[in-house]
Amino acid sequence: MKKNRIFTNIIDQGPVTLKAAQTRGDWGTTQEILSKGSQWIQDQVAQSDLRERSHGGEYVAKKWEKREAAYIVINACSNEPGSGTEKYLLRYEPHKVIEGALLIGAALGAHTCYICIRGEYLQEREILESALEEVREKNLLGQFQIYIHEGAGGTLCGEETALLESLEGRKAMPRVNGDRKLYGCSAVIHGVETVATIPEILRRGAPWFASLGTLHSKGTKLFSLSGHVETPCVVEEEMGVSLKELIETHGGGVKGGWGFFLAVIPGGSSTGFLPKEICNDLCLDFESLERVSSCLGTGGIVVMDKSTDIVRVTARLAQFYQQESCGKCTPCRVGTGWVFQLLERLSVGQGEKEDLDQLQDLLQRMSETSLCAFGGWAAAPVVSLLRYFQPELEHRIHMYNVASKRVKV
Amino acid sequence: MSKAFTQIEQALSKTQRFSFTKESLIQIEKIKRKYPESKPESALLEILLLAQRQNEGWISHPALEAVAVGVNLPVMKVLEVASFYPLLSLKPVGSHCVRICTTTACWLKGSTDLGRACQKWLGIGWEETTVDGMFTLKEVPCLGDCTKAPAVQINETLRGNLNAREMTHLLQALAESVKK
Repeated sequence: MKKNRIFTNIIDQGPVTLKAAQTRGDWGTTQEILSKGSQWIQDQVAQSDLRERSHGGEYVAKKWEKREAAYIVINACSNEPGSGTEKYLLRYEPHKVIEGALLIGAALGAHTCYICIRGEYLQEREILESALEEVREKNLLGQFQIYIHEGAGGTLCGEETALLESLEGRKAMPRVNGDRKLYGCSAVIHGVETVATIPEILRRGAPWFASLGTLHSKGTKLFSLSGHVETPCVVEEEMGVSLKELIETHGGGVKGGWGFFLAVIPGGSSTGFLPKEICNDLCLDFESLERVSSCLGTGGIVVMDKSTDIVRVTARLAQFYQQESCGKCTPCRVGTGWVFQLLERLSVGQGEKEDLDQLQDLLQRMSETSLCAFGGWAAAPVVSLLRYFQPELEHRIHMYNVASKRVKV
Repeated sequence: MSKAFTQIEQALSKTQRFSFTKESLIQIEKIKRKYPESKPESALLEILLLAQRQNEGWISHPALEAVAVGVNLPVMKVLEVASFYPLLSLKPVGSHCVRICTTTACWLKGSTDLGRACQKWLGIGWEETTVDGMFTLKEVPCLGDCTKAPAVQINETLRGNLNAREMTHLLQALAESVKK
């Protein structure tokens, strides 16, 4: 695995100057790659079967279907709980992000790239800015322009049209028509990790990348391990690695041992929980997670041991989604608040069994009728709670009713 | 909703003066150059953040007006955007802003204890400012540093792996440094 790692500096945590990046191999053959033309880059990326490294995992070649775009937008704006990979990339591999942006720009004939970064990421912004400064001084970008756009964050910015709205200086609300255009021109939006992977694919060739991973998920992926593990970290592994192995070799194991393991969030909060029974032999790739109705998402793995009150965790997440909902469409605005209130009550068992049915109904409506994907993201953790931990909820309701003497034991 | 409106009212009622410093004006020109000439409104968010940094961490009504002139938009449009993003504050904040992440990863590692310790030591609740105007305590969604949970951002520096005792020590040190 070591020789196949793309982001070596995330482990080494060395300096991030242009010189240091060049010794790691960045900017080495960029001019050569550029001289091969846009068609070659597009073909290589298509052959490598690269998929977007966030949310649905859309094929990059499919995103490039139109084969040209005026703007490239890089999304470093979404603050989905549990995903620390974005920050590490900006902090330790800024040159890969910039080089990737340049190569995508060349492939699609774009003239400008905006890197949208959260206002909270002050340190990362400075690092990126000084990296850009160095690159401009050496005239490595040519006519291509890369700018940093400082946004004010919001999970909603993970939704592409909302990000574009925010970039155009309006409230980050999704567009009704789903129009993915910036200033009326065509734009292509990518996550940071996808962009930073591209230079290495072009340098080592698509066959190398396609030889790694599983049938439908090629290459390597960054995973961030947090929560109840001995040593939380960000690590790069081949797609299809088993969750247990990842936690035990890199995270130092679950606190209290594997037997004390309760559940995991496999890729940022919008992917829901997976209980221990499923995690025992779970592999981390797009198709395996899809099979258990989850999603690889951003690779932000949050581990929870048996001391965790899973209903309270869900209630806390529901509160987070309520605060983050933009309020444009009713199912999401009203739904997120309603779900939060119900869960607050249910976390102490105050409720009836009928409340669970109501919750189910509400979640279905939220994910089906919301304007953008956010409704589905907000519903996912609660849906998985009902799917895997319903007995726990029922037990709490029963205990509460016994304690308040409404039913006999 | 009513909370947002009181915030807006507060912003409107303040009769403070605000004008961009020379350095800020140069900065604004630089920011605007990043976007197409016909779309100065793209610069709005960054200029708002700039104004907030210059104006002790919050955006007063005069500051809103100054920003509106800068990007050539009506004040109402600027207020609309300013009231939407949680990073922008429309009411005065203390000279030290303590933001505690309380979402999943940090919550599992005891951010509730941190929050409680801060509330006890400062004698204020979430989103409140101490009477002497020294500290503001904020509960924020994910700061993006889940591997160093629980994460806390004090002013512009990010701290990780804190416990309640270390947190109160930090606050104490901050309070003392101001007194000196």
